Amino acid sequence: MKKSLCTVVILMVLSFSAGAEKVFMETGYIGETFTHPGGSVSVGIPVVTVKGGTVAAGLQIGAYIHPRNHVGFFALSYGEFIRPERRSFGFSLRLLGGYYHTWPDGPLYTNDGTGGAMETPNTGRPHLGIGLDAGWRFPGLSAGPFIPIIRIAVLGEYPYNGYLLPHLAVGLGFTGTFGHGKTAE
Amino acid sequence: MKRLSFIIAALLLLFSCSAYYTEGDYFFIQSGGADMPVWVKGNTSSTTAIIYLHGGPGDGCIHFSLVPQFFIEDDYMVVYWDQRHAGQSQGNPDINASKMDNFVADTDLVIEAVKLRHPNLTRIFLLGNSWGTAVGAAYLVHGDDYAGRQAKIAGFISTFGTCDYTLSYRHAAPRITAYADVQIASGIDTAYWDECKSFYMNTPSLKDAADLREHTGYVIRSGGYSVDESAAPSPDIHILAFALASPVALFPLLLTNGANDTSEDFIGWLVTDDSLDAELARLTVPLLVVSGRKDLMAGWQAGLSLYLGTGDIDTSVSSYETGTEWTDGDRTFMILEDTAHGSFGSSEDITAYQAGIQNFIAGYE
Repeated sequence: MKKSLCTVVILMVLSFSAGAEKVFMETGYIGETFTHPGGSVSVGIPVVTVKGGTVAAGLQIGAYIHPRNHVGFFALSYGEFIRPERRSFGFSLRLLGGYYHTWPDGPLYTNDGTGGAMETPNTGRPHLGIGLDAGWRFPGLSAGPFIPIIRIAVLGEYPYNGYLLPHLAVGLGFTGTFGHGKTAE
Repeated sequence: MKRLSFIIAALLLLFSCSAYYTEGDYFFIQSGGADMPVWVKGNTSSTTAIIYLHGGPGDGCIHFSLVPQFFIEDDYMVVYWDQRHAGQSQGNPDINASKMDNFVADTDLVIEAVKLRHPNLTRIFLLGNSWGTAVGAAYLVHGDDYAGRQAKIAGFISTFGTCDYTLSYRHAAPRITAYADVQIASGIDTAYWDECKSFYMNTPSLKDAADLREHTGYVIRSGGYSVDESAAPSPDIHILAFALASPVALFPLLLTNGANDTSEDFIGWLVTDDSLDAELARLTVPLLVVSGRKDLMAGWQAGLSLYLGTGDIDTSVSSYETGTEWTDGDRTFMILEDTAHGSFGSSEDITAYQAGIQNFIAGYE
């Protein structure tokens, strides 16, 4: 289940960015509540240049584990407003929406039909995912085309006991712009 | 940059080594659309398990279990389970469709899963706190297969619980009204206490979630929930580990603690249904009922009802107005004089509370 989801999303990302002159790529650590470790990759393309920056669109996939609570996987499309670097950092804001899947992190038992318990396959539960994410780029610390970026995000998982459950997340990674078009920043 | 990366990596490594990720046995049960966590802790080599049925509804207990430590963990295996819609419980069951049958089925699944993972167990006790008393009692007496379920249980401990919110309310209302009279006579917050009196005058019984919320507010203000917060053991939570490196996620706690706001039908059923009273006489397993004399939320009269095995207690109440302990065969009823609605491992009469529970469990070894 997890492998097929990953394959589908990677194919989507590749096809999405294949025709673009310029591609924003980003990867790094993502920690749900900072300490629940995971990773994410995003790929985007510029859509339009507006006053004060660039609007981009893209896809982000990621996964993390909150031990003994849940494993989360998300594949979200996003729209992002990217402001160019001023002084020593640049700022961007993402709105995300898409698919969120969670699995309880532990063996799962259900009724065996005769009054006993039996372990059951842990297929997890699908959710709608939405999110808001603010990022700060630090070009002064860049290594080649890779610029360090810190992100703080709120990802929402719906439904969760009837609610939209927020997850705070912190991202630490690198972003880079590839291709031959005029740079967004 | 390298130094910062090293510090962040070291911090993450430190948090990933939290004992909360390895202590005891942790698994989930899946039932009726809910994935509910179960944490088996304490003396996990013991052949006696105590299954803790938390209060609320909706309070959860996995997060309470991080407080080092529940006093019976030294001697026994203690099983913490977050019920559906509560604590760290996941999934999306419809809370307003949940009824006691769901909680009974969930409890049975917890018991069976614990037995499967710990085959050396020879005795299982249920310890129901507050609402958990109703869950435990229902498990033992409700429905057709109650005898089969009782056969799995060595004893039932009820702490500060009720099986009948209508009965608890009926006995609390005059005491809160009397408290309001004293406050008004003393000129303390008279508008508030006038409103309180008006509520009880116009509300002969709880009808819905709004009534329960208002009643609970008056219970708390009149000292019927916790007489003296400072008398309770101070929770020694390792707050950083709790928030960042434990199985507990904070947002679900905030949401489920507010569940009463969105579960109108469920709470409406809870506060008006007294059908369990008629089944209490079926209870045959050893029973310990611990109540607080000053409890205005569940009330010692509700404990008496469980002890006597009937909801019809009006003619018996006067015999229990004084005294602290009564025994009838395998049944014991304790009233802790200075305790209100005690909670997880806490009571104003902490010594008597702990000794009562320990002696009861040891008595059936």
